[in-house]
Amino acid sequence: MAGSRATAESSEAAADSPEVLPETAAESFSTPEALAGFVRETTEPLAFSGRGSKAGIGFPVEGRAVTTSGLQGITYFEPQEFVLGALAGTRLSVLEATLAEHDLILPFSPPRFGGDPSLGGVIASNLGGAERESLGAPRDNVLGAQYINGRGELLKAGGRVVKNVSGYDLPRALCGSWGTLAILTEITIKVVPKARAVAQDAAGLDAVWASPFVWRVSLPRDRAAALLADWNGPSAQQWSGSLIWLGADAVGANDIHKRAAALGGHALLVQSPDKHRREHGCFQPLSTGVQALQRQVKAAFDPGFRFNPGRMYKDL
Amino acid sequence: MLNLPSPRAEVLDRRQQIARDLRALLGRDDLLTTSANELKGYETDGLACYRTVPMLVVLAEDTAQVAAVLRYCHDNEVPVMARGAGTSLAGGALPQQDTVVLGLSKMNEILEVNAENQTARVQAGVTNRNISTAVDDLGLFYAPDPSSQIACTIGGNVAMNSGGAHCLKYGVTTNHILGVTFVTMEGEVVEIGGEAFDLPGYDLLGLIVGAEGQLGVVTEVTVRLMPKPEAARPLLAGFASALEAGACVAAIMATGRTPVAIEFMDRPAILACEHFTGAGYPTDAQALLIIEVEGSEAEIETELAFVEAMAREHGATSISVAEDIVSAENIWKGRKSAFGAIGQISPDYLCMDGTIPVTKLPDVLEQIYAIGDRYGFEIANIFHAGDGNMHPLIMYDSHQPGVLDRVEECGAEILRVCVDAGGCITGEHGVGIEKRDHMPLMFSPEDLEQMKALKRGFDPKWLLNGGKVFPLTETGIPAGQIDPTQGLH
Repeated sequence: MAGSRATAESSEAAADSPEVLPETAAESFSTPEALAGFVRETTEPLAFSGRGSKAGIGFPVEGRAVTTSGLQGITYFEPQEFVLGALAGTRLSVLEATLAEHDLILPFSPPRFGGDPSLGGVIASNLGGAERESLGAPRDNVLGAQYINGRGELLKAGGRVVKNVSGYDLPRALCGSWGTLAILTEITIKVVPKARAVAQDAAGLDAVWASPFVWRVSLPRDRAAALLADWNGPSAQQWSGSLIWLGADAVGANDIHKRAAALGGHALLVQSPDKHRREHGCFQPLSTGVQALQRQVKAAFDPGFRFNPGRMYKDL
Repeated sequence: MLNLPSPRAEVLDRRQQIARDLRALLGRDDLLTTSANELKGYETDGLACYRTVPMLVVLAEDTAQVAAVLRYCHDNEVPVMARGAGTSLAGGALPQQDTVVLGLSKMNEILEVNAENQTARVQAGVTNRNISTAVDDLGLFYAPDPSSQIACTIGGNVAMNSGGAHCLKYGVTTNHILGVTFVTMEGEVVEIGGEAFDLPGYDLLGLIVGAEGQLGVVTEVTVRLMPKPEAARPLLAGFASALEAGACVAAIMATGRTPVAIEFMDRPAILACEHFTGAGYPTDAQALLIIEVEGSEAEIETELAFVEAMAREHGATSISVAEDIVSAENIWKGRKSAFGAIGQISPDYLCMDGTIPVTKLPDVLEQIYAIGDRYGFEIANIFHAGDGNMHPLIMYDSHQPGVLDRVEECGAEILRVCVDAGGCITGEHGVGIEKRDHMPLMFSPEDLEQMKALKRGFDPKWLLNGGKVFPLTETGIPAGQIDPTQGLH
């Protein structure tokens, strides 16, 4: 099964099979409270992961390994309200199986990297799937979250209703932070009727994933052609052309980052040899102004800079 | 009455100097307002029961001026607040006596429209409606549509994460913002996001949208535009009881066939709107639903038939479908003028904004009426029913001594009912000053402290739009300001 495209069939099969956690020596907890207690009692850097499907993205993190994969289960489900809450380690296949009983689906189908990712990991990485244009990215479908900050406090933000502007929109701010700001322990999301499903096929993706380097590039739609014009390797497009996947045998990390930025977009290296990843990382370099704002946000959530240090950027 | 923070006497003492400095900084006289008469024009917003004349007003014309003013206020410890059109219903644009109001209404240019990308770059002072008007001939529109869209600015929409009737289908402001020019309290200008979907790094847009202008000032915005539907048509359904109408909404939503908008009005609202606009609402109904569907003619026919069947099943006493654009516009005109219409029948009203799970609508409505009876206030209900966003309007006469206290208590009880039903205290208006003290209904002190930690990171001296969002301490100063470890230095 190549890279990102776990099918509905394989997801359902996974839901029926007994839970097998990734082989790891990571600390695991069955309740958010226990995990919060662990954070409070430790002082060293912590390397968080969910089910590890995206372990190949970002700088390797040096720290005590902690997994959220022990936080399992659907905590709230109101099919008539189209709202579902689950602990962060719950597998997407489990959510999908429950939703299918009510002719509902998740409003996002992120790349799965050959695994069965946890809800927490999907939200923390915020990679939108084929339906990004119509149903939004994961961040657009998050209603509320329970999370643990760097002080080990178990907190909540947002709620269970679609329209909610009560205070700062912290659940959204945590989307795409890759565990560097807080650990998501429980997430409430919007779900949608099956009738709104979007076809997941993107011609050429298999060839892209067969390459050692895979880039995921988000561009304004009218610049996609410019990026692809001189690209000789495999490529695929989604989102009416504005999401571009590039496969390469060898490429300097900065090239595609630079090209994406010059075209008004951004790129993430989602597959690369470990040696390359260790040296160059995967995330789009940012302006000094944005970097400064990010450090402020980091300091507000994780003042000790202990959570996934350096996974996205060396200074976070 | 809510406690407002006491003005800083030491800032008021420097008023003349600050005015001179700002004039020198801007290099012109005409951007600064100092006369008492003109300042009075900035004393309030859509929450007109609270009024405070600001110290000074600057009307900025570009991002550089905004940056210069913020830097000055930061360096000289002067409170400052950005203001768009001043339509906030939550007191989000209420100044304090020691505040420099940074008006953005002159920054009203649409800078660029890109039809292929379906994006527009606009200045913060552009009105919501003008964006859609400017791209109308391209077959596009800007989806979030607050009722105040003729007046309210995109900058204000970004600050409050505004919603609107058609957000049921399209989502709210935060789902439609791709990039902003953000000016920090220190006066740094930072470009965040752009024309592409999603952000690299942290979702700073997600944080800034809805932060009520407390983290920085947005001067330009890149919005996502949507293709206009081929056509849209509303249906009016009258019911003999508000509870039946509420049950009808819950039943339609449960099918998953989401109309583009479902608006609810109860009898007081129907009568007021009909009297005000002559929209053709059924005046014998106890409750009214406006349900809009859109798409091709065939899709519209199918969906209208479905909606009509659902309405009849739930006891609709009258049903009428808009036959042409004029009658459709008339139906919406009545709804969008609703607050003005209530203003015609009651000297004053307080508009609530709680959101609840849709299945709880009938139950919560009943509780709201009971609360109104207990306090002796008539309550008109006008709301975005499809997503459970309620706007009970508590009608009162401010000439009665002490009445505002009772109105606010009544409102607080309604919000408690919303939270107990699994909802929240504000769905689209924001916290502002109005719901500041109700935040503990939803959040623990630690939850709020995390938000305040962010505020301190962006604005350590609490100069930017302070006194809002978070409950004031007994001293009348935002609690974050007196944090011994991170507050004033």
